[in-house]
Amino acid sequence: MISSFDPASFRDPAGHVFSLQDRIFRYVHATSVQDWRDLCNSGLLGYLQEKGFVVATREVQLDPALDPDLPSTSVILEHEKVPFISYPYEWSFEMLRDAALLHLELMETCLGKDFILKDSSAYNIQFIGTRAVFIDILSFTRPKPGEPWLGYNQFCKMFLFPLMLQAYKEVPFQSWLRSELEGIDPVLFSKLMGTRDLFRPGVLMHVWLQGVLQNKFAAKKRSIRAEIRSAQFSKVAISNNVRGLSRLIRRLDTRPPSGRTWVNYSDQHSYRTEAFEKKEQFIREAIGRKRYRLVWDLGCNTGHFTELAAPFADYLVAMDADPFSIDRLLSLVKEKKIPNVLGLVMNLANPSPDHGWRACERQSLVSRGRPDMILCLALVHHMAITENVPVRSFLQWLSQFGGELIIEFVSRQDAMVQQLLLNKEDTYEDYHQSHFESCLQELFSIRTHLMLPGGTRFLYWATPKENSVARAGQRTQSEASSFEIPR
Amino acid sequence: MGNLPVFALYTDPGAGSMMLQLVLGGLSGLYVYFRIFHQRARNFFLGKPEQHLPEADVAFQSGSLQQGTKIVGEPSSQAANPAQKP
Repeated sequence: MISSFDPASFRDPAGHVFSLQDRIFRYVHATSVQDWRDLCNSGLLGYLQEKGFVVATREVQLDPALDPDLPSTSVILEHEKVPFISYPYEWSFEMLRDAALLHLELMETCLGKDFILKDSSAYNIQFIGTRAVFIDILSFTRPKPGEPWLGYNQFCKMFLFPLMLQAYKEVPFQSWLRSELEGIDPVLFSKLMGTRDLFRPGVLMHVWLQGVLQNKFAAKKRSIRAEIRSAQFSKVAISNNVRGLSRLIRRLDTRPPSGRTWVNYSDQHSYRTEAFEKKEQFIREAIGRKRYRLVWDLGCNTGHFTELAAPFADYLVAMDADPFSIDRLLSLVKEKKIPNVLGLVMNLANPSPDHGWRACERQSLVSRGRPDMILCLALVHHMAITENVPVRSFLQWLSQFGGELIIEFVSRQDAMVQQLLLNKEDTYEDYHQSHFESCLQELFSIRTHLMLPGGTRFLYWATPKENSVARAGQRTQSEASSFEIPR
Repeated sequence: MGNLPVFALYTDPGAGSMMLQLVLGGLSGLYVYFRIFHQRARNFFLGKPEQHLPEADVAFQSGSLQQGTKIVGEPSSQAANPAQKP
Protein backbone atom coordinates (compact mmCIF):
# COMPACT_ATOMS: atom_id res chain seq x y z
CA MET A 1 0.00 0.00 0.00
CA ILE A 2 1.21 3.51 -0.69
CA SER A 3 0.89 4.22 3.00
CA SER A 4 3.44 1.51 3.73
CA PHE A 5 6.23 3.20 1.75
CA ASP A 6 9.31 3.67 3.86
CA PRO A 7 9.04 7.16 5.37
CA ALA A 8 12.65 7.89 4.32
CA SER A 9 11.97 6.98 0.69
CA PHE A 10 10.32 10.10 -0.67
CA ARG A 11 13.01 12.34 -2.17
CA ASP A 12 13.64 10.50 -5.43
CA PRO A 13 10.54 10.21 -7.63
CA ALA A 14 12.24 7.36 -9.52
CA GLY A 15 10.83 4.87 -7.02
CA HIS A 16 10.01 4.09 -3.43
CA VAL A 17 10.92 1.42 -0.92
CA PHE A 18 8.26 -0.49 0.95
CA SER A 19 8.09 -3.59 3.09
CA LEU A 20 5.63 -6.44 2.99
CA GLN A 21 5.66 -9.48 5.24
CA ASP A 22 9.14 -8.63 6.52
CA ARG A 23 10.55 -8.42 3.00
CA ILE A 24 11.98 -5.29 1.37
CA PHE A 25 10.71 -4.17 -2.02
CA ARG A 26 11.25 -1.20 -4.28
CA TYR A 27 8.66 0.14 -6.65
CA VAL A 28 10.26 1.54 -9.84
CA HIS A 29 8.42 4.39 -11.48
CA ALA A 30 7.79 4.03 -15.22
CA THR A 31 10.26 6.85 -16.02
CA SER A 32 13.11 4.91 -14.43
CA VAL A 33 12.36 1.43 -15.75
CA GLN A 34 14.75 1.95 -18.69
CA ASP A 35 17.62 2.77 -16.31
CA TRP A 36 16.89 -0.45 -14.40
CA ARG A 37 16.79 -2.52 -17.58
CA ASP A 38 20.06 -0.93 -18.80
CA LEU A 39 21.70 -1.62 -15.44
CA CYS A 40 20.79 -5.30 -15.70
CA ASN A 41 21.52 -5.74 -19.41
CA SER A 42 24.91 -4.00 -19.24
CA GLY A 43 26.11 -6.60 -16.76
CA LEU A 44 27.03 -3.83 -14.33
CA LEU A 45 24.53 -4.88 -11.66
CA GLY A 46 25.67 -8.50 -11.82
CA TYR A 47 29.30 -7.45 -11.50
CA LEU A 48 28.63 -5.13 -8.54
CA GLN A 49 26.53 -7.77 -6.77
CA GLU A 50 29.21 -10.36 -7.29
CA LYS A 51 31.77 -8.04 -5.72
CA GLY A 52 29.38 -7.41 -2.80
CA PHE A 53 29.26 -3.66 -3.53
CA VAL A 54 25.48 -3.42 -3.90
CA VAL A 55 22.71 -5.08 -1.97
CA ALA A 56 21.40 -8.29 -3.57
CA THR A 57 18.47 -7.32 -5.79
CA ARG A 58 16.09 -9.14 -8.10
CA GLU A 59 12.98 -8.28 -10.07
CA VAL A 60 9.84 -9.95 -8.75
CA GLN A 61 6.19 -10.28 -9.59
CA LEU A 62 4.04 -9.34 -6.65
CA ASP A 63 0.65 -10.87 -6.18
CA PRO A 64 -1.71 -7.91 -6.88
CA ALA A 65 -3.86 -9.13 -4.01
CA LEU A 66 -1.00 -8.31 -1.64
CA ASP A 67 -1.03 -4.67 -2.57
CA PRO A 68 -3.85 -3.45 -4.80
CA ASP A 69 -2.58 0.15 -4.69
CA LEU A 70 0.55 -0.54 -6.74
CA PRO A 71 0.22 0.26 -10.45
CA SER A 72 0.03 -2.97 -12.42
CA THR A 73 2.59 -1.69 -14.95
CA SER A 74 5.28 -0.86 -12.44
CA VAL A 75 8.45 -2.89 -11.95
CA ILE A 76 9.00 -4.26 -8.46
CA LEU A 77 12.42 -5.16 -7.10
CA GLU A 78 13.17 -7.15 -4.00
CA HIS A 79 16.28 -6.38 -1.94
CA GLU A 80 18.19 -8.46 0.54
CA LYS A 81 17.16 -7.25 3.99
CA VAL A 82 19.82 -5.32 5.88
CA PRO A 83 19.87 -6.90 9.37
CA PHE A 84 20.04 -3.58 11.24
CA ILE A 85 19.72 -0.11 9.69
CA SER A 86 22.37 2.40 10.70
CA TYR A 87 22.99 6.04 9.83
CA PRO A 88 26.18 8.02 9.07
CA TYR A 89 25.95 9.86 12.40
CA GLU A 90 26.29 6.48 14.12
CA TRP A 91 29.35 5.42 12.14
CA SER A 92 32.95 5.64 13.24
CA PHE A 93 35.63 7.38 11.17
CA GLU A 94 36.71 4.14 9.50
CA MET A 95 33.11 3.22 8.69
CA LEU A 96 32.49 6.58 7.03
CA ARG A 97 35.79 6.22 5.17
CA ASP A 98 34.79 2.73 3.97
CA ALA A 99 31.44 4.11 2.82
CA ALA A 100 33.12 7.03 1.00
CA LEU A 101 35.58 4.73 -0.76
CA LEU A 102 32.75 2.40 -1.77
CA HIS A 103 30.89 5.33 -3.29
CA LEU A 104 33.98 6.43 -5.25
CA GLU A 105 34.70 2.88 -6.37
CA LEU A 106 31.13 2.62 -7.66
CA MET A 107 31.52 5.94 -9.49
CA GLU A 108 34.72 4.78 -11.14
CA THR A 109 33.19 1.44 -12.18
CA CYS A 110 30.01 3.14 -13.39
CA LEU A 111 31.84 5.65 -15.57
CA GLY A 112 33.63 2.80 -17.32
CA LYS A 113 30.25 1.32 -18.23
CA ASP A 114 28.65 4.65 -19.20
CA PHE A 115 26.67 4.94 -15.97
CA ILE A 116 26.82 7.43 -13.14
CA LEU A 117 25.39 7.75 -9.62
CA LYS A 118 22.93 10.59 -9.73
CA ASP A 119 23.42 11.59 -6.10
CA SER A 120 25.94 11.04 -3.31
CA SER A 121 23.85 10.61 -0.21
CA ALA A 122 25.64 8.74 2.56
CA TYR A 123 22.22 7.31 3.45
CA ASN A 124 22.45 5.23 0.25
CA ILE A 125 24.99 3.06 2.02
CA GLN A 126 24.37 0.54 4.77
CA PHE A 127 26.58 -1.87 6.66
CA ILE A 128 26.06 -5.62 6.77
CA GLY A 129 28.50 -6.53 9.51
CA THR A 130 31.64 -4.60 8.62
CA ARG A 131 30.89 -4.61 4.88
CA ALA A 132 29.58 -1.41 3.34
CA VAL A 133 26.90 -2.01 0.70
CA PHE A 134 25.12 0.40 -1.62
CA ILE A 135 21.36 0.06 -1.33
CA ASP A 136 19.84 2.68 -3.65
CA ILE A 137 19.65 0.82 -6.95
CA LEU A 138 17.80 3.69 -8.63
CA SER A 139 20.79 5.99 -8.16
CA PHE A 140 22.38 4.29 -11.16
CA THR A 141 21.51 6.18 -14.30
CA ARG A 142 22.93 7.01 -17.72
CA PRO A 143 25.01 10.21 -17.58
CA LYS A 144 23.70 13.12 -19.60
CA PRO A 145 26.22 14.10 -22.27
CA GLY A 146 28.54 16.91 -21.20
CA GLU A 147 27.28 17.18 -17.61
CA PRO A 148 29.60 17.41 -14.61
CA TRP A 149 29.25 15.13 -11.57
CA LEU A 150 26.09 16.51 -9.98
CA GLY A 151 26.71 14.60 -6.75
CA TYR A 152 30.12 16.15 -6.07
CA ASN A 153 28.81 18.86 -3.73
CA GLN A 154 26.79 16.30 -1.78
CA PHE A 155 29.75 13.93 -1.62
CA CYS A 156 31.84 16.65 0.02
CA LYS A 157 29.07 17.53 2.48
CA MET A 158 28.29 13.98 3.54
CA PHE A 159 31.65 12.21 3.29
CA LEU A 160 34.71 14.35 2.69
CA PHE A 161 34.09 17.23 5.11
CA PRO A 162 33.05 15.03 8.06
CA LEU A 163 36.19 12.93 7.54
CA MET A 164 38.34 16.07 7.33
CA LEU A 165 36.69 17.47 10.45
CA GLN A 166 37.91 14.47 12.42
CA ALA A 167 41.27 14.07 10.69
CA TYR A 168 42.32 17.72 10.60
CA LYS A 169 40.51 19.30 13.55
CA GLU A 170 40.07 16.27 15.85
CA VAL A 171 36.39 17.08 16.16
CA PRO A 172 34.04 14.07 15.95
CA PHE A 173 31.66 14.48 13.03
CA GLN A 174 28.81 12.41 14.45
CA SER A 175 26.97 15.16 16.30
CA TRP A 176 27.17 17.54 13.32
CA LEU A 177 25.81 14.92 10.93
CA ARG A 178 23.07 14.06 13.41
CA SER A 179 21.76 17.61 13.42
CA GLU A 180 22.44 18.43 9.75
CA LEU A 181 21.11 15.47 7.82
CA GLU A 182 22.37 16.94 4.54
CA GLY A 183 25.93 17.12 5.82
CA ILE A 184 28.41 19.95 6.38
CA ASP A 185 28.02 23.00 4.17
CA PRO A 186 31.21 24.07 2.29
CA VAL A 187 30.90 27.74 3.29
CA LEU A 188 30.46 26.90 6.96
CA PHE A 189 33.22 24.32 6.87
CA SER A 190 35.67 26.71 5.20
CA LYS A 191 35.16 29.09 8.14
CA LEU A 192 36.63 26.45 10.45
CA MET A 193 39.82 26.19 8.43
CA GLY A 194 42.74 28.33 9.56
CA THR A 195 45.66 29.49 7.40
CA ARG A 196 47.71 26.44 8.39
CA ASP A 197 44.89 24.13 7.35
CA LEU A 198 45.04 25.47 3.79
CA PHE A 199 48.26 23.52 3.35
CA ARG A 200 46.67 20.24 4.38
CA PRO A 201 45.76 17.88 1.52
CA GLY A 202 42.48 18.79 -0.17
CA VAL A 203 41.60 21.83 1.92
CA LEU A 204 42.54 24.55 -0.54
CA MET A 205 40.49 23.11 -3.40
CA HIS A 206 37.67 21.06 -1.93
CA VAL A 207 36.98 23.31 1.06
CA TRP A 208 38.22 26.87 0.61
CA LEU A 209 37.74 27.24 -3.14
CA GLN A 210 34.41 25.43 -3.06
CA GLY A 211 33.22 27.81 -0.33
CA VAL A 212 34.34 30.83 -2.36
CA LEU A 213 32.77 29.56 -5.58
CA GLN A 214 29.56 28.58 -3.83
CA ASN A 215 29.16 32.15 -2.66
CA LYS A 216 30.21 33.59 -6.00
CA PHE A 217 27.92 31.52 -8.22
CA ALA A 218 24.98 30.95 -5.91
CA ALA A 219 23.00 33.98 -7.02
CA LYS A 220 24.03 34.02 -10.71
CA LYS A 221 21.07 34.25 -13.00
CA ARG A 222 22.61 32.15 -15.74
CA SER A 223 22.53 28.35 -15.65
CA ILE A 224 26.06 27.19 -14.90
CA ARG A 225 24.92 23.63 -15.47
CA ALA A 226 23.71 24.43 -18.99
CA GLU A 227 26.94 26.27 -19.80
CA ILE A 228 29.10 23.36 -18.67
CA ARG A 229 26.92 20.91 -20.54
CA SER A 230 27.16 23.00 -23.66
CA ALA A 231 30.97 23.10 -23.35
CA GLN A 232 30.90 19.26 -23.08
CA PHE A 233 32.37 18.32 -19.71
CA SER A 234 33.99 14.93 -20.18
CA LYS A 235 33.80 11.70 -18.22
CA VAL A 236 37.59 11.78 -18.04
CA ALA A 237 37.38 14.98 -15.99
CA ILE A 238 34.85 13.36 -13.62
CA SER A 239 37.06 10.31 -13.34
CA ASN A 240 40.11 12.45 -12.53
CA ASN A 241 38.21 14.13 -9.70
CA VAL A 242 36.94 10.79 -8.37
CA ARG A 243 40.42 9.27 -8.36
CA GLY A 244 41.84 12.38 -6.65
CA LEU A 245 39.18 12.16 -3.94
CA SER A 246 39.88 8.49 -3.44
CA ARG A 247 43.62 9.14 -2.95
CA LEU A 248 42.86 12.01 -0.57
CA ILE A 249 40.44 9.99 1.57
CA ARG A 250 42.81 7.03 1.81
CA ARG A 251 45.50 9.40 3.14
CA LEU A 252 43.35 10.94 5.87
CA ASP A 253 44.53 9.79 9.24
CA THR A 254 43.02 9.96 12.68
CA ARG A 255 44.25 8.76 16.01
CA PRO A 256 42.78 9.06 19.47
CA PRO A 257 44.09 11.92 21.61
CA SER A 258 46.56 10.69 24.22
CA GLY A 259 45.02 9.70 27.54
CA ARG A 260 41.76 8.70 25.86
CA THR A 261 39.69 6.87 28.46
CA TRP A 262 37.77 4.20 26.64
CA VAL A 263 40.22 2.99 24.05
CA ASN A 264 42.78 2.30 26.73
CA TYR A 265 40.22 0.83 29.04
CA SER A 266 40.46 -2.79 28.02
CA ASP A 267 44.22 -2.58 28.43
CA GLN A 268 44.15 -0.74 31.74
CA HIS A 269 41.04 -2.01 33.50
CA SER A 270 41.30 -2.65 37.20
CA TYR A 271 40.25 -6.31 37.07
CA ARG A 272 42.41 -8.99 38.42
CA THR A 273 42.93 -11.73 35.84
CA GLU A 274 40.96 -14.22 37.92
CA ALA A 275 37.96 -11.89 38.02
CA PHE A 276 38.15 -11.36 34.28
CA GLU A 277 38.14 -15.11 33.66
CA LYS A 278 35.15 -15.59 36.00
CA LYS A 279 33.32 -12.84 34.13
CA GLU A 280 33.98 -14.53 30.80
CA GLN A 281 32.78 -17.84 32.19
CA PHE A 282 29.57 -16.34 33.60
CA ILE A 283 28.72 -14.64 30.32
CA ARG A 284 29.52 -17.70 28.24
CA GLU A 285 27.28 -19.88 30.41
CA ALA A 286 24.41 -17.38 30.42
CA ILE A 287 24.40 -16.57 26.72
CA GLY A 288 25.48 -19.99 25.49
CA ARG A 289 22.22 -21.74 26.35
CA LYS A 290 20.51 -20.85 23.08
CA ARG A 291 20.86 -18.83 19.91
CA TYR A 292 19.60 -15.24 19.90
CA ARG A 293 18.17 -13.38 16.93
CA LEU A 294 19.53 -9.94 17.82
CA VAL A 295 21.98 -9.14 20.59
CA TRP A 296 22.95 -5.62 21.67
CA ASP A 297 26.25 -5.11 23.44
CA LEU A 298 25.87 -1.72 25.14
CA GLY A 299 29.07 0.02 26.14
CA CYS A 300 31.04 -2.55 24.18
CA ASN A 301 34.42 -0.83 24.59
CA THR A 302 36.88 -2.47 22.20
CA GLY A 303 34.81 -5.60 21.81
CA HIS A 304 36.26 -8.38 23.99
CA PHE A 305 32.82 -9.55 25.13
CA THR A 306 31.30 -8.77 21.73
CA GLU A 307 33.60 -11.40 20.27
CA LEU A 308 32.60 -13.81 23.03
CA ALA A 309 28.86 -13.32 22.41
CA ALA A 310 28.89 -13.20 18.59
CA PRO A 311 28.77 -16.98 18.02
CA PHE A 312 25.45 -17.15 19.91
CA ALA A 313 23.72 -14.41 17.88
CA ASP A 314 22.32 -14.20 14.37
CA TYR A 315 23.35 -10.54 14.47
CA LEU A 316 25.05 -8.49 17.13
CA VAL A 317 25.02 -4.70 17.33
CA ALA A 318 27.79 -3.36 19.54
CA MET A 319 27.49 0.25 20.69
CA ASP A 320 29.79 2.64 22.47
CA ALA A 321 29.86 6.41 22.87
CA ASP A 322 33.51 6.53 21.91
CA PRO A 323 34.13 6.45 18.12
CA PHE A 324 37.70 5.23 18.64
CA SER A 325 36.45 2.22 20.59
CA ILE A 326 34.20 1.34 17.67
CA ASP A 327 37.12 1.64 15.27
CA ARG A 328 39.18 -0.72 17.44
CA LEU A 329 36.23 -3.10 17.68
CA LEU A 330 35.85 -3.11 13.91
CA SER A 331 39.50 -3.80 13.30
CA LEU A 332 39.22 -6.75 15.70
CA VAL A 333 36.08 -8.02 13.99
CA LYS A 334 37.66 -7.68 10.54
CA GLU A 335 40.86 -9.35 11.66
CA LYS A 336 38.98 -12.31 13.15
CA LYS A 337 36.53 -12.39 10.22
CA ILE A 338 33.43 -12.26 12.44
CA PRO A 339 30.61 -11.73 9.94
CA ASN A 340 27.67 -10.82 12.16
CA VAL A 341 28.86 -7.81 14.19
CA LEU A 342 27.89 -4.21 13.48
CA GLY A 343 29.56 -1.48 15.53
CA LEU A 344 27.78 1.83 16.17
CA VAL A 345 28.78 5.07 17.89
CA MET A 346 25.97 5.70 20.36
CA ASN A 347 25.72 7.75 23.50
CA LEU A 348 23.11 5.77 25.39
CA ALA A 349 22.17 8.77 27.50
CA ASN A 350 21.12 10.42 24.24
CA PRO A 351 20.37 7.62 21.74
CA SER A 352 19.46 8.44 18.14
CA PRO A 353 15.93 9.88 18.00
CA ASP A 354 13.25 9.85 15.30
CA HIS A 355 13.98 12.88 13.17
CA GLY A 356 14.17 14.38 9.70
CA TRP A 357 11.06 15.14 7.66
CA ARG A 358 7.91 14.62 9.74
CA ALA A 359 10.21 13.25 12.43
CA CYS A 360 10.13 9.84 10.80
CA GLU A 361 12.67 10.08 7.99
CA ARG A 362 15.43 8.67 10.18
CA GLN A 363 14.30 6.21 12.81
CA SER A 364 15.24 6.17 16.44
CA LEU A 365 17.53 3.47 17.74
CA VAL A 366 14.78 1.75 19.68
CA SER A 367 12.42 1.50 16.72
CA ARG A 368 14.95 -0.25 14.48
CA GLY A 369 14.89 -3.61 16.18
CA ARG A 370 14.13 -5.33 19.45
CA PRO A 371 17.08 -7.21 20.90
CA ASP A 372 16.26 -10.53 22.56
CA MET A 373 19.48 -10.31 24.57
CA ILE A 374 21.26 -7.22 25.90
CA LEU A 375 24.79 -7.26 27.25
CA CYS A 376 25.34 -4.33 29.56
CA LEU A 377 28.74 -4.71 31.15
CA ALA A 378 30.42 -2.05 33.30
CA LEU A 379 27.98 0.57 32.05
CA VAL A 380 25.45 1.26 34.83
CA HIS A 381 27.86 3.38 36.86
CA HIS A 382 28.53 5.59 33.85
CA MET A 383 24.82 6.03 33.18
CA ALA A 384 24.06 6.75 36.84
CA ILE A 385 27.06 8.83 37.89
CA THR A 386 28.45 10.36 34.69
CA GLU A 387 25.11 10.91 32.94
CA ASN A 388 22.88 11.32 35.99
CA VAL A 389 20.35 8.80 34.70
CA PRO A 390 18.50 7.22 37.64
CA VAL A 391 19.18 3.50 38.02
CA ARG A 392 15.50 2.59 37.88
CA SER A 393 14.96 4.65 34.73
CA PHE A 394 17.87 2.98 32.98
CA LEU A 395 16.61 -0.50 33.88
CA GLN A 396 13.14 0.46 32.67
CA TRP A 397 14.63 1.52 29.36
CA LEU A 398 16.40 -1.86 29.08
CA SER A 399 13.25 -3.78 29.96
CA GLN A 400 11.10 -2.16 27.26
CA PHE A 401 12.58 -4.47 24.61
CA GLY A 402 11.28 -7.59 26.32
CA GLY A 403 14.62 -9.38 25.99
CA GLU A 404 17.05 -11.06 28.34
CA LEU A 405 19.75 -9.10 30.08
CA ILE A 406 23.28 -9.74 31.29
CA ILE A 407 24.22 -6.77 33.40
CA GLU A 408 27.15 -5.84 35.61
CA PHE A 409 26.82 -3.67 38.71
CA VAL A 410 30.00 -1.95 39.82
CA SER A 411 29.78 -1.01 43.49
CA ARG A 412 30.87 2.23 45.14
CA GLN A 413 33.91 0.46 46.56
CA ASP A 414 35.30 -0.20 43.08
CA ALA A 415 38.27 1.93 42.02
CA MET A 416 36.56 3.00 38.77
CA VAL A 417 33.45 4.29 40.58
CA GLN A 418 35.59 6.08 43.13
CA GLN A 419 37.43 7.76 40.29
CA LEU A 420 34.11 8.91 38.80
CA LEU A 421 33.10 10.36 42.17
CA LEU A 422 36.43 12.06 42.86
CA ASN A 423 35.34 15.54 41.85
CA LYS A 424 31.59 15.22 42.04
CA GLU A 425 29.20 15.91 44.83
CA ASP A 426 27.80 12.53 45.79
CA THR A 427 24.06 12.93 45.27
CA TYR A 428 23.63 9.41 43.93
CA GLU A 429 21.60 7.96 46.74
CA ASP A 430 20.06 5.40 44.40
CA TYR A 431 23.44 4.03 43.43
CA HIS A 432 23.58 1.08 45.79
CA GLN A 433 23.51 -2.60 45.05
CA SER A 434 20.37 -3.16 47.15
CA HIS A 435 18.41 -0.53 45.21
CA PHE A 436 19.79 -1.80 41.90
CA GLU A 437 18.74 -5.36 42.76
CA SER A 438 15.27 -4.36 43.86
CA CYS A 439 14.70 -2.43 40.61
CA LEU A 440 16.07 -5.34 38.59
CA GLN A 441 13.79 -7.80 40.39
CA GLU A 442 10.82 -5.54 39.79
CA LEU A 443 11.39 -5.53 36.02
CA PHE A 444 13.12 -8.85 35.35
CA SER A 445 13.47 -12.30 36.86
CA ILE A 446 17.02 -12.79 38.08
CA ARG A 447 18.15 -16.23 36.93
CA THR A 448 21.71 -16.28 38.23
CA HIS A 449 24.12 -13.81 39.76
CA LEU A 450 27.76 -13.79 40.74
CA MET A 451 30.09 -11.66 42.82
CA LEU A 452 33.40 -11.38 41.04
CA PRO A 453 36.64 -11.93 42.99
CA GLY A 454 37.58 -8.62 44.55
CA GLY A 455 34.04 -8.16 45.87
CA THR A 456 33.20 -4.91 44.06
CA ARG A 457 31.57 -6.14 40.88
CA PHE A 458 28.38 -8.20 40.47
CA LEU A 459 27.01 -9.94 37.41
CA TYR A 460 23.35 -10.77 36.81
CA TRP A 461 21.61 -12.80 34.15
CA ALA A 462 17.96 -11.79 34.05
CA THR A 463 15.02 -12.76 31.88
CA PRO A 464 11.94 -10.62 31.19
CA LYS A 465 8.82 -10.90 33.30
CA GLU A 466 5.72 -11.67 31.31
CA ASN A 467 4.13 -8.28 31.83
CA SER A 468 7.31 -6.21 31.98
CA VAL A 469 7.12 -5.03 28.36
CA ALA A 470 3.67 -3.56 28.78
CA ARG A 471 4.52 -1.91 32.08
CA ALA A 472 7.77 -0.47 30.74
CA GLY A 473 5.91 0.93 27.71
CA GLN A 474 3.47 2.76 29.97
CA ARG A 475 6.31 4.15 32.03
CA THR A 476 8.20 5.36 28.99
CA GLN A 477 5.20 7.43 27.94
CA SER A 478 5.09 9.25 31.23
CA GLU A 479 8.82 9.21 31.75
CA ALA A 480 9.17 12.73 33.11
CA SER A 481 6.69 12.21 35.89
CA SER A 482 7.68 8.67 36.76
CA PHE A 483 11.11 9.40 38.19
CA GLU A 484 10.51 8.17 41.70
CA ILE A 485 14.14 8.04 42.65
CA PRO A 486 14.94 9.50 46.03
CA ARG A 487 17.39 12.18 45.01
CA MET B 1 15.94 29.96 7.67
CA GLY B 2 15.28 33.14 9.53
CA ASN B 3 18.90 34.27 9.36
CA LEU B 4 19.32 33.70 5.64
CA PRO B 5 19.25 36.66 3.28
CA VAL B 6 16.20 36.55 1.03
CA PHE B 7 18.20 35.84 -2.12
CA ALA B 8 19.76 32.78 -0.46
CA LEU B 9 16.38 31.05 -0.47
CA TYR B 10 16.47 31.04 -4.28
CA THR B 11 20.12 30.31 -4.86
CA ASP B 12 21.69 27.05 -5.96
CA PRO B 13 24.70 26.14 -3.87
CA GLY B 14 25.61 23.42 -6.36
CA ALA B 15 26.62 25.91 -9.10
CA GLY B 16 29.95 26.80 -7.48
CA SER B 17 30.72 23.11 -6.96
CA MET B 18 30.13 22.48 -10.66
CA MET B 19 32.56 25.24 -11.57
CA LEU B 20 35.10 23.81 -9.15
CA GLN B 21 35.02 20.53 -11.04
CA LEU B 22 36.56 22.31 -14.01
CA VAL B 23 39.66 22.72 -11.86
CA LEU B 24 39.49 19.30 -10.23
CA GLY B 25 39.01 17.52 -13.54
CA GLY B 26 42.62 18.11 -14.53
CA LEU B 27 43.43 19.09 -18.12
CA SER B 28 40.06 17.81 -19.34
CA GLY B 29 38.33 20.15 -16.90
CA LEU B 30 40.46 23.14 -17.80
CA TYR B 31 39.68 22.54 -21.47
CA VAL B 32 35.97 22.88 -20.65
CA TYR B 33 36.73 26.03 -18.65
CA PHE B 34 38.26 27.70 -21.69
CA ARG B 35 35.45 26.50 -23.92
CA ILE B 36 32.90 28.14 -21.63
CA PHE B 37 34.67 31.48 -21.82
CA HIS B 38 35.13 31.07 -25.54
CA GLN B 39 31.37 30.52 -25.86
CA ARG B 40 30.60 33.50 -23.66
CA ALA B 41 32.89 35.76 -25.72
CA ARG B 42 31.41 34.51 -28.96
CA ASN B 43 27.86 35.00 -27.70
CA PHE B 44 28.76 38.49 -26.53
CA PHE B 45 30.15 39.56 -29.90
CA LEU B 46 27.41 37.83 -31.89
CA GLY B 47 24.76 39.34 -29.62
CA LYS B 48 23.32 35.92 -28.60
CA PRO B 49 21.60 35.63 -25.22
CA GLU B 50 23.34 33.84 -22.36
CA GLN B 51 22.49 30.19 -21.76
CA HIS B 52 20.05 29.94 -18.98
CA LEU B 53 17.55 27.41 -20.22
CA PRO B 54 16.11 24.98 -17.73
CA GLU B 55 16.61 21.31 -18.33
CA ALA B 56 13.17 20.64 -19.83
CA ASP B 57 13.73 23.28 -22.51
CA VAL B 58 17.13 21.89 -23.46
CA ALA B 59 15.66 18.41 -23.69
CA PHE B 60 12.81 19.79 -25.77
CA GLN B 61 15.18 21.60 -28.14
CA SER B 62 17.46 18.62 -28.51
CA GLY B 63 14.46 16.38 -29.25
CA SER B 64 15.12 14.00 -26.39
CA LEU B 65 11.68 14.58 -24.84
CA GLN B 66 9.29 11.85 -25.88
CA GLN B 67 6.56 12.69 -28.33
CA GLY B 68 3.36 13.58 -26.62
CA THR B 69 5.10 14.90 -23.51
CA LYS B 70 3.11 17.80 -22.25
CA ILE B 71 4.95 20.82 -20.97
CA VAL B 72 2.72 22.87 -18.78
CA GLY B 73 2.84 26.65 -19.18
CA GLU B 74 5.23 28.80 -21.14
CA PRO B 75 8.50 26.90 -21.30
CA SER B 76 11.25 29.39 -20.70
CA SER B 77 10.22 32.86 -19.73
CA GLN B 78 9.22 32.10 -16.16
CA ALA B 79 11.60 29.27 -15.36
CA ALA B 80 14.61 31.07 -16.79
CA ASN B 81 14.68 33.40 -13.87
CA PRO B 82 13.74 31.49 -10.74
CA ALA B 83 14.63 34.44 -8.54
CA GLN B 84 11.42 36.15 -9.68
CA LYS B 85 9.21 33.34 -8.43
CA PRO B 86 7.22 34.18 -5.35
